[in-house]
Amino acid sequence: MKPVKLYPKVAVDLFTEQLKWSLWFFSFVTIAHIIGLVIVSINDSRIQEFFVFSSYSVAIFLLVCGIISAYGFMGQFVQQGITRKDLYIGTVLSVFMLALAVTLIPLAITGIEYVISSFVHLPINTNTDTVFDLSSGWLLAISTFFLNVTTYYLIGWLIGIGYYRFGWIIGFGFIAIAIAALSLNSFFWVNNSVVPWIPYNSAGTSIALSIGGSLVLIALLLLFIRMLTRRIIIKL
Amino acid sequence: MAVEAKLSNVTLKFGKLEALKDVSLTFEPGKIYGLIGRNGAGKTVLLSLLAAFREPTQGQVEIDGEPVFENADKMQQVSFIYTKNYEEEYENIPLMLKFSERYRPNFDKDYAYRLLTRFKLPLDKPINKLSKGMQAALNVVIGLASRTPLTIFDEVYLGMDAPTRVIFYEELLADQVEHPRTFILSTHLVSEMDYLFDHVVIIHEGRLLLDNDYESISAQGVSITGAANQVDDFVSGMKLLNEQKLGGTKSVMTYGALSEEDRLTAQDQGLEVGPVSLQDLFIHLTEEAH
Repeated sequence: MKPVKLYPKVAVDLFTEQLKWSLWFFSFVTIAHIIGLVIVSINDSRIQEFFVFSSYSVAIFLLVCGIISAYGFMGQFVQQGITRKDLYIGTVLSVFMLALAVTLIPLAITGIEYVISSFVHLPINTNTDTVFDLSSGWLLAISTFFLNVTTYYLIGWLIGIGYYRFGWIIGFGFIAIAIAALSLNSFFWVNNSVVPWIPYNSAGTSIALSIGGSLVLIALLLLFIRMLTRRIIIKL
Repeated sequence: MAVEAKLSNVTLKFGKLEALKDVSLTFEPGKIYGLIGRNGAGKTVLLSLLAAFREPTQGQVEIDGEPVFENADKMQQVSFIYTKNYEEEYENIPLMLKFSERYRPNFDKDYAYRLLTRFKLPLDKPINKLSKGMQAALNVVIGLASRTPLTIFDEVYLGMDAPTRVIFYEELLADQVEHPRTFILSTHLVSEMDYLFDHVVIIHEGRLLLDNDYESISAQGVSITGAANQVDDFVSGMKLLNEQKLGGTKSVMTYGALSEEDRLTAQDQGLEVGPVSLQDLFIHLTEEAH
């Protein structure tokens, strides 16, 4: 009997589980956005469109998902006889699927917002300075968003693995690595520092450089996580 | 569907501490093994090696002749059931079982639900709201219904009351007849569970102390009771596990099989020859080794 490959199953399961969390998350962010719309219309000012509005919180949400995934899924799956390798590949696939989903969901909500605003006046500012701004090019905004949330998930996953494997003292070291990775990430992307207390220099206006840098960072994170989990001891 | 599990010269170190010292041991297919040892003897650590939760520092751990660690085919054939912390488990039992059903090719859903009924487990409550005994029963249901060729129960009875434990033992034996597999049951409740075992393994301070089938173990120890001086004469030269004296009467536990000739001599001298329970053997063997 040829053994069945298990990582696609793992990927689908992890994606579905975290997609459920995401739907909860987006319903809260949407409510926050609606409240925001009401408040700014009273004050006669403007709010960012949903895609930009949600970008920071989506990134943080994926960071948290990443941290949880180390503790929540590792023991559970290995106990069901899944190898660390299958779990790793499955998780990586699920991260890309999840990142795509959490990019498309706010995009869809923004689309709805645009449709509504063609009938009713909405106090939305469509021209902000962020790279996520759809007015500066749809494709660029979407790919930037996607790369950014993917990076955040992987950084969270790395922190989780660090704590899981080494305990809390060395775990702090992983927070340091995470902050370094986050500032590197914001270095690549102009006006996108989510860790405001870290001074950042922009790599300039070269989009190719930004995307390239981001991809290298993602590759490094993936490699590092695989090295840490390849022979990891599962906790009872 | 039953597999052979084998440890060859396995040593496991935590820093300088040796949790397992050069253990070589084979779990033969289709048998129920009792794994006995005192607290901290190395039982759980040994079992976690079989389940590929970790690797040994030295030596090999194999399932049907192949290393188990990161071996997708072999890891699928092993279930390691232990007392888990369910504090954060907000799902209910059916959802939990779905997970096992998805990843365990031999999982029998009907059987699982029959067991749930027998253990009277509620299906609608979140698992973290169940009592410790109910959570333990749930672990047993998952372990039995997964029907993995190697099923390991590491002190899973913790928190179960006596009637529930009896249901566990009954169901285990009944299912072993229908779907034979290799079982390893680690336990402290030796006197209560010994009738389940085909084979007994005792480990002590990380070393293998005894590895024998249950029948021959129960013949290995005898208790000799009678007048103190007569008993002393009779057992001289034998390996003694324990002595108890009450007035002029003495009872001695010996280790090692008694020859037929010795048995007759004892009878002639009016000495009473009785069996030694596995529990007594365990207590005194590990005490002596101390």
